[in-house]
Amino acid sequence: MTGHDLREGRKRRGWTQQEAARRLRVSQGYLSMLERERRSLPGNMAGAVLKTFEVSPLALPFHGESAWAGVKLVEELSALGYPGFARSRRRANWNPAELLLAALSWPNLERRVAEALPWLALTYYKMEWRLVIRKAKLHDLQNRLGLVVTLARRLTERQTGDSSAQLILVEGRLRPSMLAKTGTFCHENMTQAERRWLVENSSVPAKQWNLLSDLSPEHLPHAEWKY
Amino acid sequence: MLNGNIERDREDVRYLCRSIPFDLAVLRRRYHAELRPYIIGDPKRHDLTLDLWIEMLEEDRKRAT
Repeated sequence: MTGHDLREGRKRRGWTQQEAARRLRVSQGYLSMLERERRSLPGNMAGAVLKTFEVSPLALPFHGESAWAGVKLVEELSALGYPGFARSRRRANWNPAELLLAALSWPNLERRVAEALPWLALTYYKMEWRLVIRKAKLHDLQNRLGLVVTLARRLTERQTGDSSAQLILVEGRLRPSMLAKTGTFCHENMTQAERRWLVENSSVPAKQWNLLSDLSPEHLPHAEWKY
Repeated sequence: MLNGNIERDREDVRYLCRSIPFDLAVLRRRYHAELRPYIIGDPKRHDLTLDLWIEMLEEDRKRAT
């Protein structure tokens, strides 16, 4: 989240720096420094800024790759509003783009968490995809990301909005860097019995991304939800 | 439950089998005696699903020991 985001958020609410600082429980001088980027926004203040200024979670700063293994995925997805989990009262602490990358980097995910990822890509389709793609490639996650994007795009197939066009673009950018090696969709500990089964029975989108998975749009719990 | 055989269902089955360590031979026997005769349509698909599950659960138990 940049100083510019802060200033824009405050102005959208029609607040002076003094009023916004009072709501954030900081001094006006400190808020001024944050807006002019003389100070960086502390991580523990980001959630309060989001809530107070009603800024998109996409403006949240990244935690960094060293934090990916420790993220509480269910809690964060819930805080971002994923309807498959009980609604959390806590604020989102993770930028959806980084949360997606972090989840994809896990060797094993609970299936219900893995199923939430297309929702994340679709709901926050305005995320900074160039950065997401670049980081995914750095960690050899492009096939997993590709599957997420394809599933998300398939969910919007009947719509003709921005989201569908954006996701098609992302798929196109990922396709040339697809890994030839067959992998799993964050399910490295699957049994050999399942591996053999999935060699024959993976879903079409999973096969397109060289992944062993039977996840398909119709199986997503949020497939019928409105976006 | 045999109607569903996606990863989420198999994860649920694995969890159930870890929580309640039932006898897989009994599962197979009871499927053939009590469920299979009442399946509407071709039961071969369900037979294959049961075979996969039992193979998967046996492997899962071997891993745990």
